[in-house]
Amino acid sequence: MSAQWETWVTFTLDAELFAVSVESVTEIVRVKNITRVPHAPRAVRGIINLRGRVVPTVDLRVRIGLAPSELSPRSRVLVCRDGERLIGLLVDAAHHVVRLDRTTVAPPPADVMSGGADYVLGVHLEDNQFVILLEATQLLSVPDELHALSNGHSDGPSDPHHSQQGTVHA
Amino acid sequence: MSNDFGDFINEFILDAEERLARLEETLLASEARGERLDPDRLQLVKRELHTLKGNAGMMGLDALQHLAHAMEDAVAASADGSVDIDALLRQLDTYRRAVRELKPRHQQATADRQVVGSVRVPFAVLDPLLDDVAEMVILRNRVAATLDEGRRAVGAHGTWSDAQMAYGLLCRVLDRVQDGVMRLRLTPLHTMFGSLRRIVHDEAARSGKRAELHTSGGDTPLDKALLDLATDALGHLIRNAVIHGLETPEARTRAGKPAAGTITVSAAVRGDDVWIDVEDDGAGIDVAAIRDAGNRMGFGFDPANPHALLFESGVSTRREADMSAGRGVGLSAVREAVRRQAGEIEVQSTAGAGTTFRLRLPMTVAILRALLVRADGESYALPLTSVVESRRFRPEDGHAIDRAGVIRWRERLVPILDLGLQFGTTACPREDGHVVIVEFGGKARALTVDRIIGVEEVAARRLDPIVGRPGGIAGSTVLGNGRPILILDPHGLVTLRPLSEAA
Repeated sequence: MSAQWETWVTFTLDAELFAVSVESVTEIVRVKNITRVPHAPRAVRGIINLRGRVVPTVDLRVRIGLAPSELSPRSRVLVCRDGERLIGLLVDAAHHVVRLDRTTVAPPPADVMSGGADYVLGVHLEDNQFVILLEATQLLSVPDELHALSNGHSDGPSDPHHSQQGTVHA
Repeated sequence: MSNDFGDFINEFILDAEERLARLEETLLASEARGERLDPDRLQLVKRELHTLKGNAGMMGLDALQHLAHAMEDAVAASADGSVDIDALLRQLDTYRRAVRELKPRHQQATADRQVVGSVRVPFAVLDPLLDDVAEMVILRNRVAATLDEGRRAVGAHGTWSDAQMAYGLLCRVLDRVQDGVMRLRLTPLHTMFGSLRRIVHDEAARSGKRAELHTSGGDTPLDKALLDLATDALGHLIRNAVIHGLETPEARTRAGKPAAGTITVSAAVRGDDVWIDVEDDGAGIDVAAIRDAGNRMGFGFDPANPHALLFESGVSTRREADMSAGRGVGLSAVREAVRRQAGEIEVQSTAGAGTTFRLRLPMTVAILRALLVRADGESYALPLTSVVESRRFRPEDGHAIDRAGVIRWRERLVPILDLGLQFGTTACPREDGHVVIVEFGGKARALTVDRIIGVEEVAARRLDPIVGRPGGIAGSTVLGNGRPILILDPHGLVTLRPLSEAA
């Protein structure tokens, strides 16, 4: 089979290397601060200002089931477009734009995947470098189980005050 | 002065201002091509001046009639279209000033009208309508939440389905109404291009430059409030382009460029935004001068983003300020004003080839006056319409009832809502803090906050549905410093059950 070259943006989450298709990313921005949105889903880190547009930003670590990230000078937001919407994905660090041969991408190993992880497209192994390819559009929504423990906080796990949030509107 | 006469005067003023704008644009357009009016333009100028004279006479405004007559004479004397454009422009200014003085102070607002097709709509009528629509949108969200709760309680009962279907239809109509009202405020950009021509003309004359202005995208629509902002911002950028951007005719000729510089203003709609580019074919921005100025002022210079310092207050590439530019306050003020309206300004420049400033503005905007407060490290905007009082928190005002705090206010007991605790993690200080009484639909809450920042006009932006429907939050806005903050929803606030530290 002839090679099918595609361009991907690689980034790290918790020391692991991931990638999304370059076509889904409109730009990569540095973030100094993210304004938190109280009572938003846990995976929603907050809002950022992108040239006057208020862009909600998903903490990609939380979105895929890892501990919340801490903002550092290396932190980046991958701004993704979904129709008219812009949504940011917070990552620990953005790496490179790379060309990968689609035919060498292995499907995700079915027996280790949980049902909800439909955002994993496959894995790519080259020069002992393991890259997990993600489908960006799947990451731009927040599944229900991440609504449940909503606290919208940037730091640490949910705190006792906010775990009772569900009763506030009762 | 009878009311009828007042109406006539207003009509006269509006009519005269439109004619003056048309005259000015015609004169400046001719000037750009050399100092002659072609026969068509000459005819138009004569006709407009004649009408101005006639209308002024009808209103019994002798001074204006004579001024229009003098201008008419000056133009009539020229059969071949060669007229003293500068002199005419000055006379037009005099005429315009005299017309503006006719407006009685209390009638200024009614004269602030816009032309929509053939209907003139006073903003004094339009703006309250827009506020009402905004309130309906907030109420709609409330109804949606109540319907959801009701259905959960009652189940999929027939009456609920009917109610929800009716609600769905209502939403669609409301969306159309909102869209329609916003559209009424849209004004095409070309209405302000005339004033830009004038700036190019005046600044070029003052600084010994030669400049032509080209415009495109004049039919691009923009909200009236943003049009005013765009007028100020573009005026500033155009002035900068003539003074800083363009070289002298001699320097341009030496560089192999046409002696007259070109400034191009082009506007276009991009999604929900309007982009307006101001491009000059001048010398480009002197990066070394910015770096030096930045060093003098103690700002760091980022080689990857060499133009960023231009927008910092106090940084000017000019050694000396003059009347027009060089004080280094202009661009930072422009950026702050633009950001307040949820817009942004960017610059690109190539040495020797020119500079482009890009202004991005939302096409429509919902502006509200808000009290900015701070709690637990975040700022929040509270719509001023629901704020009835704000003052220092006196501990003796607070009482604890069943673990929840209340405050005595106008013979009522009002529940305390600690904004820091409710939306952050840390309670606001009771010793040194402030309290804001918020009232909506007869219900009140006493919001305790760390600090009151002040009152500002903010441009409301909807939050993406991905954030859910957080109680007490209506939307977001961006402050002048570029930081996004949340706009609180008075409706939601007065229905929130306060969280307490003890809970």
